Amino acid sequence: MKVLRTPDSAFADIHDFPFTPNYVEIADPSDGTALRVHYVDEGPRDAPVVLMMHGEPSWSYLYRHMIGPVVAAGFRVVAPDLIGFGKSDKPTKKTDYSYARHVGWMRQWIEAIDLNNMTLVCQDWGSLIGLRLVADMPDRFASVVLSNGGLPEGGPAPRAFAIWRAFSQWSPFFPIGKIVNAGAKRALSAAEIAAYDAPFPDSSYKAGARIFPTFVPFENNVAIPDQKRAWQVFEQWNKPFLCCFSDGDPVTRGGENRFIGRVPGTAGQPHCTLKGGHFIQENDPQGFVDCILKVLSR
Amino acid sequence: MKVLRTPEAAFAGLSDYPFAAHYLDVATQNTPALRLHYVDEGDREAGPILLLHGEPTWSYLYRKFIPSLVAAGHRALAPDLIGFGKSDKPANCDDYSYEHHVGWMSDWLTQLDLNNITLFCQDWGGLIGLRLVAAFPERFARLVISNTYLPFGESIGPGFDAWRTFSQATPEFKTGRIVDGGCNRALTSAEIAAYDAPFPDESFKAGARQFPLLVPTTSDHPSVAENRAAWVVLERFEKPVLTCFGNQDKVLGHLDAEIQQRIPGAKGQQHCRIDASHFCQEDQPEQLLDLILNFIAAQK
Repeated sequence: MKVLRTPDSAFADIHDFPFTPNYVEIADPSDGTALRVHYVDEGPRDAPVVLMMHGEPSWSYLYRHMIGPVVAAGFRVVAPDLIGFGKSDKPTKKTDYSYARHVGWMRQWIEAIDLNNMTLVCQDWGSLIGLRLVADMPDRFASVVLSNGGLPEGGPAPRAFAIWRAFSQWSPFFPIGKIVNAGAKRALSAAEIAAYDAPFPDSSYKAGARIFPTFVPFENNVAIPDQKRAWQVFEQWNKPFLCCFSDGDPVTRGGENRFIGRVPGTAGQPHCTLKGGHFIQENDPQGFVDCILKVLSR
Repeated sequence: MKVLRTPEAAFAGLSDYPFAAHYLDVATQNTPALRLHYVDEGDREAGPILLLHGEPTWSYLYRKFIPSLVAAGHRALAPDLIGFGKSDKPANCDDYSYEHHVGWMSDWLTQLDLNNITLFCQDWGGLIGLRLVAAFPERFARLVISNTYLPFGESIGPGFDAWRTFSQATPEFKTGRIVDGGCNRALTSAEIAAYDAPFPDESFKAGARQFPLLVPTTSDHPSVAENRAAWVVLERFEKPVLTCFGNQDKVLGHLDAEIQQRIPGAKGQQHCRIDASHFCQEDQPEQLLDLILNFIAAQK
């Protein structure tokens, strides 16, 4: 497996992400290739862990406005970059990636640093991967806070998603920062757009970002049996599970209805709708933080 | 005129064609009103990109183009010709003529009042599209032409003659298989099914069966005069024209030189041959998108 590593200099001009980088090396299960996972790890090591998982096509920078307030409330915040994203290593071929591999890579990383008593905070692919981790390792997780994501198990792709998927597959250009900007319902600054572009010095780094949309298990996708097994775990999940989706995300809007009632742990939680687009972390980070702290304080 | 309409259920299984359906009634000469289907995505105020399909396809051919053109800030329009896709299908071969097709699409174009158009056309999309350019040159800003031509009564080569013979002789006109055969890559079974979807049985295929006979490759064809007149306009068309033909299209791939030499707007452009067969949209979508978007951007 050929792997690229974004040079540190690519991140040198980012001034609103002051967190010390942490790295763990994992071995790809298929051929043993070493892959370096980057993660933010802030707050007391013995405090309850808040695991913030980003999705397509962002990185832990997405959580820059949320890490500080959650640490200030007394928690340890851990925010990894998925393989292919941020400061983590980037296999160069689209076929190096699959949904199952992403779950396996992140599982190895969690086991390597032995995280327990975690609250999963997730959005987009952070939820598709994060919720699978919860189902695989339920004893390591104490609660879930879910925004703008889900755990699809077949069925037709929503129209807006199918258009996005075709764009990601065939477009001659794939401007990461502009894509985040378009999904953020506010105008990001030029520096913020540059920060989302930073992990990808050129298109050879974007294989993971390009292929992600085709992995979402709609229609007859290969991952559907794995999803149904994960759902069996969530249908018995009694720990707190809070939904806080956005009112303005055309892709996931209303997705909480697939969880509330079906996951027993959703009962009695203060579910809410946040105002914003797909990247709610850019629109209402404080609202998202408030949801996390509500779950942790109960 | 007996008119068939493909039931909506025939299109229900298409997972890679997420576009909203738009319809307009069109008529020409003495034809009754026929329902024409078209895709219309993106900002209505943006410059339109008109994507014209040909034989025996439909706007599904452009499913990989539309999202990227919209993401680049354009309005993407892809109509289904009468007899194809989700548009109405007159049941008899005699219901179709070259001039009817041009008339139906002219009616659609003028009803929508499209202007500042970037045309991308291939196959019959060019035979009809270039006639639209000749009829309404002021509405078009630039042309991108692939694997098509505007014949005016002369042979266009043995590849086409063989295709026309096959099209009339074959007992079953397997549209999905025909498209697959005109691509370098192997289409998936789902894609082949999508090209079959507009035609639940042979009775829906009168327009597809008739198309090869409507190409003016002999001097007695009834549209020779119209196409000669269209060339007179095209020979004065000075807005930018780009050709990007498939280097493995054995039917029409050799005709780009005629276009480059005869349309003044083609002078000095970066014409290219791409690694594609007849259905270049299936073989090289990303490269064609790149060519179209750069061609537009170069003139801004």
